[in-house]
Amino acid sequence: MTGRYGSVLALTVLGGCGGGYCGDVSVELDPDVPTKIDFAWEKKGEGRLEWGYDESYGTVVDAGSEDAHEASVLGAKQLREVFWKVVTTVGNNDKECVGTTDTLGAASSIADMFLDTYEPTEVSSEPYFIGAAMFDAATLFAVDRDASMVWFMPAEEDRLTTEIKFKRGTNNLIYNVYADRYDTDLGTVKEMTLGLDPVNETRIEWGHHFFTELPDGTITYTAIHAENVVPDGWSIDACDERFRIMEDGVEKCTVVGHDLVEVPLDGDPVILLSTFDVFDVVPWEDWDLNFYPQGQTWLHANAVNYDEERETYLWSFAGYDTVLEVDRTGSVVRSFGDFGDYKATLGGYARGEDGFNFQHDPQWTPDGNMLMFTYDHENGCYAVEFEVDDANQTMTEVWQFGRDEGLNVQALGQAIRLKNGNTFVNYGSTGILREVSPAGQVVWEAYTGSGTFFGNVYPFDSFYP
Amino acid sequence: MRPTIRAVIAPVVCVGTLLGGCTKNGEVKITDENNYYFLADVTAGTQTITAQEDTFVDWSGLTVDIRERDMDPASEVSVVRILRFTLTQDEVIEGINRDNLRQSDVSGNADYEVSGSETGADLSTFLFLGTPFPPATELVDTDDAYLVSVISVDEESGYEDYRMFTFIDPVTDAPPAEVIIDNASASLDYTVDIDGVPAVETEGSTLIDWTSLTQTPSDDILTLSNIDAIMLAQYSTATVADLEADFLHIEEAADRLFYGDVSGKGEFDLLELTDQDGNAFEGFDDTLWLLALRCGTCISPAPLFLGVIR
Repeated sequence: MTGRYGSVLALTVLGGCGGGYCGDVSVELDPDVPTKIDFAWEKKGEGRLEWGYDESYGTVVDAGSEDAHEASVLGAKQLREVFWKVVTTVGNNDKECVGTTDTLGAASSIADMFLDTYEPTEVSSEPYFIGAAMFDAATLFAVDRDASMVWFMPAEEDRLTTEIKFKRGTNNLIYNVYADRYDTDLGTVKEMTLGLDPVNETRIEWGHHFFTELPDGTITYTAIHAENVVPDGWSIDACDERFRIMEDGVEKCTVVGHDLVEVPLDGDPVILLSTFDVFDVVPWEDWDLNFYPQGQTWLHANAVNYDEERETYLWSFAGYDTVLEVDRTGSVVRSFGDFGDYKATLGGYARGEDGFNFQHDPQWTPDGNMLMFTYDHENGCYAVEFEVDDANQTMTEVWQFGRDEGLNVQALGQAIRLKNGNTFVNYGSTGILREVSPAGQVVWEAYTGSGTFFGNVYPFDSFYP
Repeated sequence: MRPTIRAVIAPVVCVGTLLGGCTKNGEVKITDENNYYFLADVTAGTQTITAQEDTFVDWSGLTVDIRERDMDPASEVSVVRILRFTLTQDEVIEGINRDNLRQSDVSGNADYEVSGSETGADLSTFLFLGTPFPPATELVDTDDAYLVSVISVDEESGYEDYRMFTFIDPVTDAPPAEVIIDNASASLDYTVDIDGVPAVETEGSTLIDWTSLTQTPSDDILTLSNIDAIMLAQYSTATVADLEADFLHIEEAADRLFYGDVSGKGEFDLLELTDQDGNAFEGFDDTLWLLALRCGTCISPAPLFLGVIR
């Protein structure tokens, strides 16, 4: 039952109008997050906020059952009139205060996105994507299905942030920050509210690329770890003169490997595994990439993803075209790719029969297959899914999208299986995000203007936990 | 504690009267119909270099930029950028003219951050996120276009200003050559129509709302949040035809100029504008007035909106 108290007023409040039983309802536009509108009111009863872009509202936000209520409009479009209804249920009666407020817009330095394709009936149910945009207009952002930036903040200057996501079970955000040239240890995972208020910081020493959060709050990341190695089966001539060093009368090469590191919520960091304990150092495809200033680029670790059911990590090495499955004791459970036990084959593909190349973001699908983004600079970079056969130690391609399309990705990339079986494909440095059906139909696509591209991007369901 | 914008809704008292009115009556809605037409016509030269070989880029002779502004190549260049496109040169020019190049049109890019009074650098020293740009693998003989641009970066805002650019064409076995970027590397012509669109009728109001705009002056999609500055120009003697004829210099031709920061906004009261001496705009007179909404982060210097105010 709805009861309205007082006359319907036309009150300009921050560019909008309110009416009904409003009592002491306060409305604040958050100056740091132009699409966020905060509400607070004191009234004994069950409180809720409803909001949308017309009087049908649509989004309902619980504001608690105490005397004082707080709720926010989160994820609204920029420069749009938001219709809102503040409701307090007392007994069987709803006391309502209704109004509208115009959201503000982003600074022009915030990255732009544009919609190319949207088939509303074909896309998965996740209405938003959150991620990092890099380079000219470095931005941490969330977009809706219209490719409208609905939450955003500028990334830190002269730093890299390649990953941002919701902290498990909360609507706080966690994101990484590290030196943009990999030359200084600035590695940190920061937690903040959607209103940009800092909550916590976790040091991830020499952390880079991406990180994963475990159910217990542990942050696991991949760290730069340089060592001086004696060439074994290869000549010191393969080592750049900058990275040659005399040690104990022996000429060695400084090589950049990586550590897999867990940082518990309350405790000291634990190095689970070092690549120097797993692989022999061999000059390979990206040896001369000059990615890290500390030494010769060797493995180029570029992803770590934790799987809750398996309780293992997938740790990706683009430079070796190899993925390790590692448990929480640091033991290698299985190894995949060129330097692994499990060899990949591409079903029916005439070229590149050596499996995956310079892969990014490997992860398990709900079906138990391995999904990843792989590079092919001659024919196009693409998403590929492998079925893993433990008996024969093989990986057989069962699905791919984008091969032979010719999209030449210079950096980054992702493939994530969505709830409805579609696949989200992030084409990294090309600035394209897509959702693709199992049959290969692009049902959603958004892109950036020149100068901006994507780090990791994740689909999500709601701004409200 | 960070500042907040706060108001309390009272059930009886119309607080709107304290905040400037209960409704949005009096706003002047700017629409696409009021917007001028502008289409750039950029011409850029091509310099042939040896494919897969390092090449020196020299911008020491760049003293007048593509917008005909004088410049000092030793102090005003912040970044030199090479972009490799998946497009032909003609397609790149079309994208520059319409300011609608996509990141997916770019298959590779690297920057050289200029230090001191440098006026040249080897392409091999350009970096992409810290990773070098090796000519042996990146400068290949292909139909795809390579563009080298000289850019000034505003230290305060971070906005990039493309001062000049040239195409380079790596050709196998071509003789070695330096890449020269000078006053003649590229030129800008344009088609502009201000007079042919309806003027904005203010009817005495100074509150301008541009949230209804959807198209750029060249009829592409307009992103509202790209509008970050407003300029109001007054001309005592110049006509609209005069300004169309010398569009690159409409600021210099103005008798009075007022500016305002509208980043993140969709409306603005022109009475908040000030000139360079801090004097406030006080209202219109019977002379010619132009209103411009600008984008500091766009490659094109052309305002996203420009129209006559009546």
